[in-house]
Amino acid sequence: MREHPSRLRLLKGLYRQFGLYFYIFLAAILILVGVSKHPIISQVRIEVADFSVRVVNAIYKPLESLGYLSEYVSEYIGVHNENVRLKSENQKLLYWMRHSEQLSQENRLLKKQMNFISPDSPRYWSGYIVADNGGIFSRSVLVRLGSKDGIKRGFVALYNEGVLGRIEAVGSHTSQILLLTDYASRVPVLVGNKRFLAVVVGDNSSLLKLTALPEGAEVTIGDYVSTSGHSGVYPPGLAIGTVVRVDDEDDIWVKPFVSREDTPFVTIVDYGLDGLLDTHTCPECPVCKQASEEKIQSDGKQKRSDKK
Amino acid sequence: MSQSFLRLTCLFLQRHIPFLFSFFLLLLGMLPWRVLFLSHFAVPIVYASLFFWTVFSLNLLSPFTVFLLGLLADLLTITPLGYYTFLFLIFYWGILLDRQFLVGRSFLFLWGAFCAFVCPLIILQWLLASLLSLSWLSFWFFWGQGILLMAVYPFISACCAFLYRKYLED
Repeated sequence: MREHPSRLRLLKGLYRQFGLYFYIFLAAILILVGVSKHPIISQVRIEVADFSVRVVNAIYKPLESLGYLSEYVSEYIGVHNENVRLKSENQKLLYWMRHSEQLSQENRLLKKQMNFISPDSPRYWSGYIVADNGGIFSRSVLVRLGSKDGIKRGFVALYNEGVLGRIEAVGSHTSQILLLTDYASRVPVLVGNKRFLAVVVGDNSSLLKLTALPEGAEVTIGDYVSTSGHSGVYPPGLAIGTVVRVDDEDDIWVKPFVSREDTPFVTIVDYGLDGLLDTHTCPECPVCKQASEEKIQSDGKQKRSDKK
Repeated sequence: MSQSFLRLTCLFLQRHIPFLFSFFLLLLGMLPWRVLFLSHFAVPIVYASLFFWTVFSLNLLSPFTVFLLGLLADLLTITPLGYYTFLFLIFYWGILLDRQFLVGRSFLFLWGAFCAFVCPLIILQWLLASLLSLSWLSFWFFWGQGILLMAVYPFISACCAFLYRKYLED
């Protein structure tokens, strides 16, 4: 009985003396665990983000109102010039509207003649970007849409019809969008009028690197880059960006149409594609095994209900 | 009963001011500012808060609190697990070693000391980040981060000092 308090005191003394070293050691262990990139870590991340986004939201609301106020004042000052610009733009748009109506009518007629069956129309969600959680190692943002809204991993994030990225992790109220510019992002694309097949790779900067071009492919500044649809993640024809720098054959850079800084909100689109590889890569681990089995079951249910 | 509960809550909040303020800074950095690269500077601002509280209120900032802050920073930003946890703890350890020379000094002296602590930290951060990404990352980016951190120290320090005087000085 007497030993108990003294042991406790000894433990407390040890903790006081070596506690900091213990935590430094623990942090080093955490780094080793983090290097393994276990899927559970990303799930924990999104759950923590899910919670913290609510707090972030509460902080952001008043700041957002201030931002709107300053935007309103600056818009009010430049209203005359804006009006002149809009009038000339309106003329152009009216011309294109008539042209597009003609084309869509022609398209409908041709489809009817060819007996063309359209693919399923994609599903859309719109949500605000609530947090920017990228850093040195990644480029990603959090959007206020989660599994409760029907969001799943692999859905495409668009802004003004240009690709921003794809959904990487899903929490109940929040999802993480991996931006095109992220180090881990690889998208098969078509380049220029000759439609050379290539891959755009993110490198955590604001530009994308164009790689895997076929030999002898001629790429010039201003070439349009769009998705090729080969990965099974992005459908073909989505706007990626334009070539802005051609230093040599292996050093070609693309500026994305959509940059993180211009996007207050995004449109999440489900094109019904399932080309994204599963994150559950360790079949031996019981947690991953269970998650994988649950996914197979839910996919089966989904397919059965789709058939019905 | 409710009064004592309120008092306990107040006491709890008071005792966790260093942690709560640092966490608040972390969340503030996560806001979608729509300013290029600002998100990259979000987490390092916490160093300024850690420095102030370690010097002025060490009893409220235990190694566990620093560990927890680092872990939250790792989880909230997409950095490898343990990266900020390790850096925060090393920074905390460094300040602890020289704390006796820092207590009771003027603001300018502390600012200078903070800058002196940040320089080796930036090198360590660059080395660790390069090691984890298996490539030499641009040192200038980290250096830029360090300069920004030194520049914002007076502001963060003023906020911390305000909280310290209002709630903790007694």
